[in-house]
Amino acid sequence: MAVPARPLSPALLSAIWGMAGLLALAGAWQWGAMVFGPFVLPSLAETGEAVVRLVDSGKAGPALLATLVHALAGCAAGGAVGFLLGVAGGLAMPVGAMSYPVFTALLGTPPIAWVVLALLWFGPGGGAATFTVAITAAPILFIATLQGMRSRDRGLAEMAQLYRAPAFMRFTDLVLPALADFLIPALATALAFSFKVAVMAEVLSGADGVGGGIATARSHFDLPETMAWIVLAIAVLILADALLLAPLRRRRAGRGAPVPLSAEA
Amino acid sequence: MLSLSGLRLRFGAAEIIAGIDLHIGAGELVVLLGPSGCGKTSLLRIAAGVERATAGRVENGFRRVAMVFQDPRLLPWADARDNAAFGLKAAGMGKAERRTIAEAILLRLGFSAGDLDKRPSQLSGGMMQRVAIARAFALSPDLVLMDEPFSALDVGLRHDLQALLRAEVEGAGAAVLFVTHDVTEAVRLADRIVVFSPRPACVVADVTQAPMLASVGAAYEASAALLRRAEIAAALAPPGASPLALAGARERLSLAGKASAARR
Repeated sequence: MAVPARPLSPALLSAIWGMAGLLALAGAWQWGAMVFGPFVLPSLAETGEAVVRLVDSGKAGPALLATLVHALAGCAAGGAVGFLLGVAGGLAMPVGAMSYPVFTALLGTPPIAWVVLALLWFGPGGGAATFTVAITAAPILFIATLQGMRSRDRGLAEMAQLYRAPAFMRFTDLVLPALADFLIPALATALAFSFKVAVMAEVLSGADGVGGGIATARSHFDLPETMAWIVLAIAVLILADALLLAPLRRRRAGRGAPVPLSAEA
Repeated sequence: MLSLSGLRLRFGAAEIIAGIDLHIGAGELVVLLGPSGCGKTSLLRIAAGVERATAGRVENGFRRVAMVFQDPRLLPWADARDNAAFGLKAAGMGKAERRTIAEAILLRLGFSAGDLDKRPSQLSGGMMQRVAIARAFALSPDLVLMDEPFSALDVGLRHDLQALLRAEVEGAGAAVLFVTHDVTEAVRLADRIVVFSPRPACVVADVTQAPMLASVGAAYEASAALLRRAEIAAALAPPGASPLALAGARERLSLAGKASAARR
């Protein structure tokens, strides 16, 4: 007698479809390499060899660590400022009203302008990259937090007041969970931007990190190595997202409607 | 004891409450009955301390005060057990102890063990309101303020919850100030019914009675008897209702009560 097949779990199905998407991207890349040739787009095999070479030579580890530090430190510092001012803006109208146009201006300023200024202010090195990441991440978190604070349920706040909930409990039990729907996509966006901006700042400042590696590879016209650095940077971003944000998404998904992976989605 | 003396409330030019004296003793279930928008909820909010009266005195000798709102106001991200334990957590009680107390009350209010882990989105309206009642009574309050907590529920469910509430109140020995615009609900629940006039609110009647939960027919009869009093009928009449229509409504209510009593 045939045993009925057990349906795949949603997480496994999601992983299978995710792999299918990555395979489609790899297929498109390989097709591009075959059509345009190695001087425009190196093949998957050439890039793979370059990745192995970078890892074996011991260049990849320190560079990835440096970019990770620039991206995470900048994202944490800028995100914390944006989050705290967003909470303050939600509690005190003048703070929100004063901060909003400032952060809108920061959000609209091209990161490249900040890189140039940061190079003049901090000199070449990791400081410029970290600063540029921080100033890029802060407005993303500020706007999401302020929106969340303004959308929170006043009835629940009154209930908590009547039950004499202490301020810290109101923050952890009411404010933070209510902000989760706004913060989780904003954090994913900020983290992705942080890696992009960190690498760009490193390229321009000649600092250590993936950006420094890309700058060196570019000066040697070494396309497979350039692509290898890009692949390694994306792998680290995906790993950071899986370790830092996926647990938050899973926790949030357990209480109702799903949350998109990113505010851009 | 909760004492409200010479209480007045104005919002700008609008007078909401025009001088009310009300005293509620320990273990008493007092229903504030009045038409919609007459200022009952405002009075409850003043008693709760979240709104200030324009004039008058509020003396609250009750130490533990809880409130049940018209909507359940549950945390969407917390399960029934944690929602019921919210007040205990606010009071600083440890996790295991507060969850045990919340569980016991929820089970008494008709929850099954499997329902305790459900979030509000997985519960019906009646179940959510039971969680809100459990949250209030988990505190072992000596005063519970209730703002039309059953108004969004159907009649059968409302009757069930009224019986559960009365049993809970008698078990806990808590005083309750219960706001409603439903005469039959007032009659079924109250030890005392205080009738408010339309806005600006003042007390038009203060009736002491025995709660009539046991018989629907008797509750209808008592409601009709209340509405036969001209000052109460006038206070509860919808705006623009003629005296003739009111008399007809009172008569229909009385006949419905007699028919229901005869069926029993």
